[in-house]
Amino acid sequence: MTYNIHRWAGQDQRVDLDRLAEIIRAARADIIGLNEVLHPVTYCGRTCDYLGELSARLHMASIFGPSGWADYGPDWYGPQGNALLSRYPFAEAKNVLLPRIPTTKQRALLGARLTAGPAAGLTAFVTHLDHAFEGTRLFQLRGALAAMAQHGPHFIAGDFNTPGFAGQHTRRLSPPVLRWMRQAGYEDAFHAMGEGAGRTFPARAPLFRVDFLFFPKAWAAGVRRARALDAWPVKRASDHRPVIVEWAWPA
Amino acid sequence: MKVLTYNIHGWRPADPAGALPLAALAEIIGDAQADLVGLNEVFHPQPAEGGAVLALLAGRLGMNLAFGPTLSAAESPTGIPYGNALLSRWPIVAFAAHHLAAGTDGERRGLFETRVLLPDRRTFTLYVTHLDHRSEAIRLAQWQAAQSWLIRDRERPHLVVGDFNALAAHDYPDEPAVARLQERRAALGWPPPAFDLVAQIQKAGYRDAFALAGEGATFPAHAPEIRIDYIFLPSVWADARVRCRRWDHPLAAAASDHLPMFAEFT
Repeated sequence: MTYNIHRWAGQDQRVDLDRLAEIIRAARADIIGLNEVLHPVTYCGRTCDYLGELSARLHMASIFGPSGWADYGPDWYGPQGNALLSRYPFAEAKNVLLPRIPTTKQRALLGARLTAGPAAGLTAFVTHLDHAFEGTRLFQLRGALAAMAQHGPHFIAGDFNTPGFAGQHTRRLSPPVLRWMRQAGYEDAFHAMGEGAGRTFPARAPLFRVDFLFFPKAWAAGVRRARALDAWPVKRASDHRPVIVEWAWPA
Repeated sequence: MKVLTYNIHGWRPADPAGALPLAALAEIIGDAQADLVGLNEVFHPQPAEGGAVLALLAGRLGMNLAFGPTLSAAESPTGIPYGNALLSRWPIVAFAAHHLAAGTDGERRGLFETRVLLPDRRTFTLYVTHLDHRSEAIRLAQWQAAQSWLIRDRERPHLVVGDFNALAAHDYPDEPAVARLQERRAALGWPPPAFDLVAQIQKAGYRDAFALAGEGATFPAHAPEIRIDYIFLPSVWADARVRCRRWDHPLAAAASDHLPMFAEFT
């Protein structure tokens, strides 16, 4: 699953870890890439380990990969970045800072290899590319692709912030980020096996598909299903909806 | 900031028998002393003596270049990648070539998103585009696709420039002017004029720099009748002072089938 959790804040401005845990549990996700994670977050003077609490509720392992410091006012700040949650243990975690263009925020790529369970040997990556500008995203993506190149079986999940078009006139067009991913040998799991429109943003009435999960072509044959969740809690739990992909080792 | 937008007609001079107009283009563009130049109908790398024409042009002007292909070598009629380009006096920090829908059996078009680093260390985004030349309906669909990119910049200063292949209603302010246009198009066997695209662009908050301060048609270059090359300012730049005019240059009629459009913002 890939899920941008909007700095822990729901559309109702509430932090509701039960709601997030329920969404992940109901989807029966085994590995989750999270974006916009503040960890630890200082909220109204209190410093909280929401990531630890969420993973404890789900009985999952978690790792955090900071990309910088985020300050959303005196009541909401802390290191911000990506996180991975998993039902199975991780090893070899690494957090790569992506190339940065002046005046843009530092972004990062977090990866770790699963050491047990049905997907043992698979490495999970999660990233969150620039929100504003495709050229900046390409610049960052170059670094992410270099860090993942020559890696064994892996996937990359995250908020790529590039729209996967679905309109009548645009369906066959790929934005540059998606063209680069394809040229680098990756397959968009939703493009391969997606159900529905797959739109993830904004959560309440989504217009764009900006959250993706990619597998290198050789392992993409293992993708069985892909969809954006649309059960009612996802409309309020974040400003994005999560995408869930079912995958098994290809025969 | 000085900006020029120029459809260079695939490096083809107005006279089909003429030589590749590198020297003329360098002089036309150089004399404008523009900081940012958006180019349409660029083949790159188009081989010439001493290297690729676009690189030679940038070299002569002492400017940085970026190229945003809309057609790959395999898709291009000449076997050379084709699209839009940027020349910049300032460092180009990032760029992305977006594709715009072609309609059925048309040519794919592009929106070339380029970001430069200004001397004050802020960044600035220039979008260079070239829309379909046959149908207002296709242009409207392409603008809609372009909007999904532009909308993210709505709070930031930026410019959208290029050959929109579209007419602006404000260039035909009275009924006789519209009637003359209709007659002229009918005589050429063209469909009646449409003004919907520029109206849509204005509805999205953009202002035509030329309508604010300018005069002069841009096409065809040898005897310009219509204005289809535009420099659009976003609403967030409402307080900018604008000068805008067709860039008339003695060499321009021979160097391309379009004349360049020039604007200065302060």
